[in-house]
Amino acid sequence: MKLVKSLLFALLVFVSGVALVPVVGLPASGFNWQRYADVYVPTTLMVNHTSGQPGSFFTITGTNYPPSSVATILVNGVNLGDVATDVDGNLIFVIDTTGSSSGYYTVVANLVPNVFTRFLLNQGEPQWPQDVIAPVFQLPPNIANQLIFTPIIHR
Amino acid sequence: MSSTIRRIFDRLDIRACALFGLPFLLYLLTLAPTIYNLDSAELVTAAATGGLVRATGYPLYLMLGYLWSKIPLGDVGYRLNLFSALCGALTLLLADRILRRLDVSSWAALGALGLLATSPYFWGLSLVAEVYTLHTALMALFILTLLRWTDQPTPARLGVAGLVAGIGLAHHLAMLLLLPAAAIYTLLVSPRKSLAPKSILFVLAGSLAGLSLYLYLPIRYLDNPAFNYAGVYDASLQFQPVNLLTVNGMWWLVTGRSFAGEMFAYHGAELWTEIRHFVAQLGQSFFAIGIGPGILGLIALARRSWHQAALLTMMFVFSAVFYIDYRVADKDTMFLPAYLVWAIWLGVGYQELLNWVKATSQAGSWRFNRVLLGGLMISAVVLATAWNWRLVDLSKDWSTRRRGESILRQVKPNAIVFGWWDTVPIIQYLQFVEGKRPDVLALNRFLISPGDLSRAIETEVLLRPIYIDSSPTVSIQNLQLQRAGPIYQLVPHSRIRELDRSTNIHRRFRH
Repeated sequence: MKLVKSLLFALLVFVSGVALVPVVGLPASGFNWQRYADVYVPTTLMVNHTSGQPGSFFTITGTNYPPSSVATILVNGVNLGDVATDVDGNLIFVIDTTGSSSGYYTVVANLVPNVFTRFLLNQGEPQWPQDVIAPVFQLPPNIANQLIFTPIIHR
Repeated sequence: MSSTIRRIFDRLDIRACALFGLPFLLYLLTLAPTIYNLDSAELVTAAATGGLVRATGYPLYLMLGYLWSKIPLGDVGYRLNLFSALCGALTLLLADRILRRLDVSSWAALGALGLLATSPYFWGLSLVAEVYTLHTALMALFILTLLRWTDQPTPARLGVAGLVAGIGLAHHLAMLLLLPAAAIYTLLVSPRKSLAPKSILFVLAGSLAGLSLYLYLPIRYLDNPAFNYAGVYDASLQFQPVNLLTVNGMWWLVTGRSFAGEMFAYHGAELWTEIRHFVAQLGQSFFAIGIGPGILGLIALARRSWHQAALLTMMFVFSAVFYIDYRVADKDTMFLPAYLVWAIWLGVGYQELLNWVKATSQAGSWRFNRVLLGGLMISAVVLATAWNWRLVDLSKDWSTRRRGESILRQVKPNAIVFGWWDTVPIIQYLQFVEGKRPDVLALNRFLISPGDLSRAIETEVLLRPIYIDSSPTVSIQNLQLQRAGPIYQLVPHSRIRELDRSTNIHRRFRH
């Protein structure tokens, strides 16, 4: 009886991991280079125009973000909302600058916070219409950054 | 004669032969038949030509790889794939030596190490030229030297552990993740003996001797190797190598500062997702069956020798946590050290199960029960082998060579090819190792900034044919992409009109 008990207990421990299969699954892929072809390709975030008049629409595109994830879009640190990346890690959205003040705007998708792009709103620049169909975020007023260039004095 | 054969068989360590020979045979049957892509192509090209790779330098691999590349067997790519298989099998042999020290019997060792040998990533990384199986072999050797020191804590034995640590560091900096565990372990086992001046002196001497392998890098640098990934290209396509004769240059390369931004990169919910991913991958690697007995093994080891349990637990935790929090796409390949520790726990756990049953069995029934339990352990390995074979088998994978040769067939004389890791290292392998198309300049986009890349393209496109694997990330005016095999040729608009008459396949840059 004691033997049967210990044998059953040993078998129970042996197969206990099988209970994990519905959670962790069985191996579905091995090591192959096609899976990792873009390993060291950096994340990019780009804007279609580097400057425009207030009221312009700027298209922001990102590549090589974590695939099928949700990125929070921050402009000058202000949260504009979320956008989803596709299965290849690309994202796209539009920023509507109607009613926004002149100045510099830095755009970040929080999934990779050290990658950013920047555009300038200035009255003298062209007005850009919306050129793609994508989620549109309204830029809040009065969050512009002004870049101040301090003079360098040589003796 | 028969007595001689019997004597040979008596001396032959069947268990060691099985734990080295069977996995090695498995790896031979599924080995990649030629050069493989990404890091493999970079490592093989550098090793075979005396070149230099990116951070963290991998001097031990480059040295051993250089020697190994001379064996007359298959092409150079195949030879270095074979080296990974050998290191994989060697890891298992050394892990078995550890298990013997922990009183783990043959059945349990075969079952536990068999699951490690056939786990998708350990198996897969034993089939292509890579740094990981050499690292796990050195890690197993390091653990073994620490356990040997425990038996007899002499300064010389601690010095040997220091030497292995130094050699390990000269191969892969992940060895650093094992050192805190080793230091704490030696202090726990025998603080007086491990802190004795003579012991410290031996450890320092051993470590420095191992670390001296790093001298290979500046020595190769002095020779100005044709294949060099330790540096950057500027906009005029002049290579600016990092000066490895300076302390700063060596420090930049060895510490992998170019990857620092990827370390400790996850927070909050993202980190939780990564932890779950690791746990799932651990479960899959040991075919789920290895999880329960693995936990049992950790508990049993802690009850028997909490020092040894602490050593392995710290090694497991430090290795796992660092890579869980490392934001790179191929980090799945980097958990092998954690799997090695788990396999040791699994061996101890399997042995514990056998011990339970033995304690309640009579002599006759014990033999049957041992075969029953041992048979189940071996069956799990057979099942894992059958399941994973189709996932990892690379024996018919010629895709990398075909891709490289196809590109070299397509590109015009004196062309420049810009590309990422799946494009350029294989071209460079074909050029530097096999002497094909020396007129072509292949340049890895990892080594040039996006701005310099676009400036270089704008200048060079008027002088020679330029090819690229995908759209550059910065704007280039007046150029279009025209398909050329697996890559694209960059063609000025003015020339596109002429070319359009023969082909219409071109694509406009989006940015």
